[in-house]
Amino acid sequence: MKTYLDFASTTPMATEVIEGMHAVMSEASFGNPSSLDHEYGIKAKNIIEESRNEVASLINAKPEEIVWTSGATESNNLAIVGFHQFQYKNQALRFVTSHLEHKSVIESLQSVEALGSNVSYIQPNKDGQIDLETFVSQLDPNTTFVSCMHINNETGAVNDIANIGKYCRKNEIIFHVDAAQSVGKIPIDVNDMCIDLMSMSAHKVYGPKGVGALYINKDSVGRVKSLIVGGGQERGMRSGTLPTHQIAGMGIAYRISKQKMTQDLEHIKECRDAFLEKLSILHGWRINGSTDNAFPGILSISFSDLYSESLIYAMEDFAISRGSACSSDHDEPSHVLKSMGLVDHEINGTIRIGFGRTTSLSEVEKAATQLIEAVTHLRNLKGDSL
Amino acid sequence: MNQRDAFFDTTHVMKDGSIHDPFVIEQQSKSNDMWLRLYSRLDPEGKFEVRYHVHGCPHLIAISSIVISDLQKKSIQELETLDIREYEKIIDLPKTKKDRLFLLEDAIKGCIKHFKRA
Repeated sequence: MKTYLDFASTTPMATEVIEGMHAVMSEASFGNPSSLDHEYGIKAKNIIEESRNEVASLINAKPEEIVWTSGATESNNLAIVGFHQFQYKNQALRFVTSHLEHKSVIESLQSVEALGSNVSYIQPNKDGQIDLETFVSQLDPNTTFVSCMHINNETGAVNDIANIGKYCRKNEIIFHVDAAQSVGKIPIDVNDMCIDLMSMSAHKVYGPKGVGALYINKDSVGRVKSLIVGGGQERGMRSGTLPTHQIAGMGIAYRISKQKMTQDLEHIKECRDAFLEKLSILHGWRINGSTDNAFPGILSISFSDLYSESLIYAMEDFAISRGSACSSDHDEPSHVLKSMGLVDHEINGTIRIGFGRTTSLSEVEKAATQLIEAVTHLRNLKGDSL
Repeated sequence: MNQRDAFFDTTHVMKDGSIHDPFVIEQQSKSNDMWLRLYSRLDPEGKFEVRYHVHGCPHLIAISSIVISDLQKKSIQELETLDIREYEKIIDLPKTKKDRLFLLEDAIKGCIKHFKRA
């Protein structure tokens, strides 16, 4: 098996998560958590609520502000479309977002735009971040809703959520944060950061796929309209029988992430720095974004004279990617890198390397060595010297 | 030679020192930012020798390596009968990447045309 260095795409489940999920599936907790007439259902319900506490605790929210979903994509849809449908039925609103956002945010906003609302897109700076000044200049008194991601999934750039949130709160604008890449990796306090809605995922932090959550600030938003109707679970905001084992896995993953956050971050930074140090003997590459104000676990590197597909092929011992996992199987150039001003050949030559909790420094050294060999080989094929 | 071995093989890649001599005939074809450059000559017995530079996806690199390996020491007549499409099965070329073959075919045809003119 190749060594996994694509932690921005997903993460392997932590052993404790697998064991915890297995226990839930094996024990007498298979009951429907909505069936509270017997102990099976009650036991499942208790597991769900324990996990809800873990998720809430990680972001300093109240447990009743957490709504389970199938993942961050659904959370983004629910936050944007659900907010629009519930709060402002048939009214045109003004939304502001950025070109950096995940497609689930952009396409959710396009769907409210189709209903007559207006959406503005903020241009990021060259480091792939939203400047507060640029952000403020895009707002007007009619702005109702701002959606901004915390850590960018392609470059690792970290947005200044706290200051954007404070500005929104002061101006009575609802603030949604896509925290799929940040929750459990860097500190988040939804109260200090003035966040009203926040999308979360389990599988980006060593939890299972297929489960996530939406934080809904009880005081400022209260409710969103369910996009999935039926049994009225999750206080009517998200129908469907809750997957107890997956939710248990998410709870465990979040608990571990809270415990290990500082240690993980230090380790990942050490991996990134060692990788860049080793790579420094090469010429003709650049980091898309910057290493300042960036999450060290996501490294986007552009070799503008090479094809990323060939670089990845040549890195035969490592699993790395071209960019976002959601777009790497499409031929369209990354909308994120484009918005940062990269031209086609820079985007075509971009690879994304992700470090995580289980990455070892020796793997990092080997990956850098193999990348140097790959670049040398491809430049030789082109007739260019190193 | 399988796709992986072909991708890493550099036997017939043009080395820096030999660019200007004796492989003087240069044919380049381009498609979507990818390119293939052939440097060729006929040896004293009229047999084809070719070196190359390539830039593009792994499939183009691998197919170029395989085809160019097969072209060595062929006569012009043999080159003319070459059916480039036979190679697509060797590396399981995806349908969306068929144009890589045409890029290779164009470069080889350019060489043949040049030698016939000469």
